[in-house]
Amino acid sequence: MQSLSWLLGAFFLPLFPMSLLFSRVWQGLGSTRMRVLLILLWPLPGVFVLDAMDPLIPSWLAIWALATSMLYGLRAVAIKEASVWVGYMAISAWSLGWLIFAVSDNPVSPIAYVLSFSASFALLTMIIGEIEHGYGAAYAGIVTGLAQDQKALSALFVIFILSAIATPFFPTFFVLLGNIAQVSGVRLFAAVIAALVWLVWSWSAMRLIQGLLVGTSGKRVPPLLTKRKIAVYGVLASLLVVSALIDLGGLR
Amino acid sequence: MIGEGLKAQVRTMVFLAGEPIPRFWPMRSFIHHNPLHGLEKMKFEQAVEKGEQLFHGRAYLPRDLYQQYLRDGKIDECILEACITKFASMQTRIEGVELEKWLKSLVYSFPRNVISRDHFIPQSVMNSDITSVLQGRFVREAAGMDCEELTLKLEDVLIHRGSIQEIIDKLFGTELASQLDDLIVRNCLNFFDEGQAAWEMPSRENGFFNAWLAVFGKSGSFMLSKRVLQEVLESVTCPEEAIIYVMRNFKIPESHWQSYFQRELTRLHGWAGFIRWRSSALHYYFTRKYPGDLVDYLAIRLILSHALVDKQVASSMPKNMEDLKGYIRENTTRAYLAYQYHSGNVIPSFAHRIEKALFSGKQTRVESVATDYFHYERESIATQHAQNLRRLSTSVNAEQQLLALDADGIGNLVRCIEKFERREGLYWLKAMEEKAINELLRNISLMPSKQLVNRKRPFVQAMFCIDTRSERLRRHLENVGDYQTFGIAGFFGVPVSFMEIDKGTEVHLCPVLLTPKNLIMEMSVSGVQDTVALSIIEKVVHELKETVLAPYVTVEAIGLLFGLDMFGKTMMPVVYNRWRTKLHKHKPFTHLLIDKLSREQADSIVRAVQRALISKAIEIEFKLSPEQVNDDVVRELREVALGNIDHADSFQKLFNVDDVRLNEFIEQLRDVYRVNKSESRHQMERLGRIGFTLDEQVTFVSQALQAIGLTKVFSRFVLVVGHGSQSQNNPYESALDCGACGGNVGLHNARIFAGMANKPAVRQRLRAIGIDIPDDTWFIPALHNTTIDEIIMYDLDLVPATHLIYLDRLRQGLTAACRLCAKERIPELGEDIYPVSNGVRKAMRNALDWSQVRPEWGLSRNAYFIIGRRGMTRNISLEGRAFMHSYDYRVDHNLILLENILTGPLVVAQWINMEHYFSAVDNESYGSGSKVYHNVAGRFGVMTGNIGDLRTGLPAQTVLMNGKPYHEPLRLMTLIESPLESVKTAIGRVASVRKLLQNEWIHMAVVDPISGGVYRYCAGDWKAYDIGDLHAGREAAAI
Amino acid sequence: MNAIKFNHLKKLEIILEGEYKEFAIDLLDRVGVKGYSIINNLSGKGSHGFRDGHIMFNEDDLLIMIIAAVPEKLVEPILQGFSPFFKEHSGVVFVSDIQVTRLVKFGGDD
Repeated sequence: MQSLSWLLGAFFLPLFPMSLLFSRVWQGLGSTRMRVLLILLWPLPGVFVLDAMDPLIPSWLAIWALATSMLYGLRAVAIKEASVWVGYMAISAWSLGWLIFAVSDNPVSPIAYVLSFSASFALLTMIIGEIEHGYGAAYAGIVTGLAQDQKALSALFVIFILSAIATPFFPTFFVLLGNIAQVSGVRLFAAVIAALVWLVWSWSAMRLIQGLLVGTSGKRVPPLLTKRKIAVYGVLASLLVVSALIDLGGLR
Repeated sequence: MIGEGLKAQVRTMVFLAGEPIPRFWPMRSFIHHNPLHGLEKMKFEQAVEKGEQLFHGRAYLPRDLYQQYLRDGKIDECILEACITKFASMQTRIEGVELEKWLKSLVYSFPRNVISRDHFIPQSVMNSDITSVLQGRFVREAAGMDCEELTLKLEDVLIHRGSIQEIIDKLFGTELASQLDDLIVRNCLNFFDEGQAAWEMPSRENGFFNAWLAVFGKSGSFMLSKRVLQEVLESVTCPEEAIIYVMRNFKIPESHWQSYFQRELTRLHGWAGFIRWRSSALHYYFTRKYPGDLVDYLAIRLILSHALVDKQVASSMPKNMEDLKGYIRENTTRAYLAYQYHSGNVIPSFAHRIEKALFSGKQTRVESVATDYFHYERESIATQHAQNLRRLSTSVNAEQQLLALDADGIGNLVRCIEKFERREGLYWLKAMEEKAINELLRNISLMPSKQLVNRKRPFVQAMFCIDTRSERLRRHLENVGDYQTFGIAGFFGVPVSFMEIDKGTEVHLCPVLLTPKNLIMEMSVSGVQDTVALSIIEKVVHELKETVLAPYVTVEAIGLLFGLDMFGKTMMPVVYNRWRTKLHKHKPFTHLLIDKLSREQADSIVRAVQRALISKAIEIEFKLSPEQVNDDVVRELREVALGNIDHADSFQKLFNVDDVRLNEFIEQLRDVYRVNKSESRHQMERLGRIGFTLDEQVTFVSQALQAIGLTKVFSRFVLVVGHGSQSQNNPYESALDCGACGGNVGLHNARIFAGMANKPAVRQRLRAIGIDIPDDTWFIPALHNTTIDEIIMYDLDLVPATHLIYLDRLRQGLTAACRLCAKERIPELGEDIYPVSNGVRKAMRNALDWSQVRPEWGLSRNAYFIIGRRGMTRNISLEGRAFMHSYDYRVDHNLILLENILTGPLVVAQWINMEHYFSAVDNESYGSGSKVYHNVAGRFGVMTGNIGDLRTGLPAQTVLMNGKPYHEPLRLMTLIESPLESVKTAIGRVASVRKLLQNEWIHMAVVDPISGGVYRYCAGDWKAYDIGDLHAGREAAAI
Repeated sequence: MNAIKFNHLKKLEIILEGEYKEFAIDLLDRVGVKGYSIINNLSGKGSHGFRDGHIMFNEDDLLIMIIAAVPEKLVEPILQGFSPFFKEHSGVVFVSDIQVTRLVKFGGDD
């Protein structure tokens, strides 16, 4: 029974090579709606099961999680296709969630951890969907200079991507910080590696922003978002920020 | 061993390859020039096409902008439609398609091009695909790509158009081309630095190539292959050998060398243009000191590219032209995908798949993605074209006919439309030009009064520059009172080299086509400043190597004599002028030396300088104070230094100096302080250049007056008005100044001309040749500040007392005219003002605000060049769009005056016109982009960003407004008032203008004042033009 | 009186447009030609029609001729150097045999 739970966890709070399943499914999906659903729902089985068990994971498992996270974090750096990027980043972020179980009586809630990341990724996916709809693909370097024509879209893109890489004031920041802080008390080395992964995320996000938003573009496309859509996204973005106020990471 | 012949051949090839690249003058004196000047031997149509290939610059505006002009009433539709009809009639007939109707609808209703050419689909395939789509079927059969055709297309697009590093970039995704550009620009900045850098590049005197070799031999970069650099250092002694070495290593056949050189040179055409200018400007200080030419540049660039490729490309990959060709042949599909991906034009939704396929290295994967991509491309191209064609056919109600066409028919249609879309820019241009020309011809007065000028003398006559900005002022001036105005090139026909006070370099105040033979100096006479002068000499002599001022004190020129106030004493000029101006508040009182120095005067100057130097030398070397040294000693030493006597006995005795020390000192005097015989001779020669002989003065004044037809009736005042502009923080400042004065302010020429014309001796001689200037006529120099529209008069203390009472009226008239002019002009800058005074205030602000990127529009919107009497244009407003040169055919008996106007001012105006044309049509390629991103480089140019090519042409703010052209791009329309036969003869004698006319770079019309007829030059012939019936003119023009 | 000694050289007469004077002179200098003469303001007729020769405002329109006497070994490199030029610009080069008495002036030994 226990091993089955582990396995479930490894698939849905993905560890390599079980993460390949998620990767395959994610890249196979074409519709934005499906992707949003997938990214919100996929880690939940794993998290719930593990949360119920509330184990204290051994070192090798922690290392395995860190390795997975670093692997996908680095892999994401070279990715230019934004939707693929989101997939890799999600795996990288979720696998760090295993570290919550490296500390006994961890105030950080694994469900909150996973949900904050998933929410950010989901919103980002929606924006990427808008870009794909207007430009064919959100491929950095080929589709450039979005900030020139798509001002609102670019602004939202930046907000959501910053949330995805756990920049301060977004909920993801607090949960990740809480996670690392707790782990550092028990396994310092693991915390350091996790922080390094965090650094790699910001690097790859900047590359994506630079490739997609900055500069000029030859093809001029009229603004894609209607005022209503901008309003809706705006509300969602505010909700995202506000949710950080909820006591998530046990940092109070 | 590389033969001399091959080296010479390479050098010539580089020269020829660089010819189309326009020369870039340092921006301190910005020169408008035609960016396609090197291509002027071709017809305009072909030249702009070639320009597109070389510089990737658009030749004409895009259709939607022309459609806007059409809506604004600036296009002559008849011409446009006539051109379309002509084009359509020359195409093969397509069943059921009235091509003419279709094309007209295309031109009026479709803002964007309908047929695209940027793809790899073979024509036949595309045709059948389009047909299928139109019929409602899909492009189903996954027709395999024809590898042979694909290879050919890839070769065409890559091998024949790119350099090695560009080809590798497109095939393998490296960034060699931009790395190379970076490296070469850095090397250029290092070498061509003009005193800005704190650490100078060593041994620059050896030339660009040698200095670079020395530096790179020792350092090198981690990006470059050491092996290559080593080989180069060992085997290459001169740049030609380097070029040959690299081209052989790259395995490029000799027959392709010249075109390869051209590609490499045009890549950074700003820098190449600058180097071209610099190496041909033999008087330029830095050229003489640190020589460097295009061959050096190319050699360095090629070596760097070779070293870059060698290091960064793996040894299994192709590194030379042959291997690259082979690679394309053997890996066609992979090359196809790679090219699509790395050139940035790939369809975005495929980008990720292609990236993965290429990275995986598996051939099967590559093949399958390529096939899919090709299929997708076929579909999207076919769909896009089919949609466009269908919309087009619907707009002329011919949808059925379109659907009835088979693949061949579709192919013909597509080909026709494509051909048309390439040419239509020219048709729009012609239609726009016709409208402008007709407007001018309809509004001028064809038969100005033929009576001889027996009227009463006008209150004031004024000579303005032909610059378009003068037109407004002249018009307003003529309206505020009895003023008669003339137009003449802004240097007033007096080419002069000018040395301003406190500066040691000469500035050429004349069109860049000329080299002035005379020098005018500005001298201060406000008291003796010996110590100041001498301390400057001290600096010169002792700190030549270190001081940043060194370039400003060119010792070999008469730089030693600059600002030396002691000459005021030696010269004893009779008249001193007072310099009072808002522009140069702190300048001391100065006067201009217009007359030649006599031999004695020159001699005493040289003697004085040498004595001063010797005194100083004694002071410094022997630590003696000036009182201790008397004149005789100095004189003696001088004689010794010049080699006239052998011993400086008294010196020796007086100061107890031994022989050795004395000889040392004499040597110092000769070498360091330049007190020697050859230097004396040199200086005498230079001094001989100062001033004009009486003959020369008479010639210049008479030529100028005759050229503008001012020979009989002279007013009490004749204003000689030069112009200049005023702005802050503007690297393009010089572009707004007078082009006829080499990009400088026209005031000095005005002062010189007025000085000459006021001389009694000159007037006496003029009388003898029939130009009778009455004694009470006085020439007053003035400056028109075009930014704030202000005219300031100079040298007013010279005005005879009898005239002073009229000066007030003159001043008032000028002020009124200026204000009216400002009021007319300022709204065009996008500001609204109502009362006259606010316009002036706004103008002042433009001049002084250093954040103002557009202090004035300058020469934008120029369109016409009018040669003739003012009577023709007196009553119309030309909106500041015309260059106007006064000319009276009745005094030009042997047509020399007309020839001079054609060969000089007209050519300069054409340069200005073309510069504006291309900067307006494609500001990114031919212009210099937005001023906001400019960084001044080396004090001679600007780059966009912190490193990159030198930007040529005009900035966006000068020719565009809110992203759209403010300057209307038209070719210059020249109008000459003169008998037709005279014009034909004159043009026959001036090869440059004849070529411009034949190759359609300018338009020309002639108004024959004797017969009253108007003639247009059209396709090699002069056709009579009936103003009433414009139709005939249009038929003629629409070819 | 001694018999005058004659040496054989080749004479090159290069006619081209005035604006390329510096280029032509530079090429000759680099190949090793010791001296040359330049005749300005040429008129003449060629495939481009007749050209007049008097000085204009614009000094570039003139035709010039450069005359140089060179040892035979320099002829080939000079012609090779000029060959790309004359493919694109008007002008000609005449090569003829001449004799000179003072060889030292032309780069040889007397």
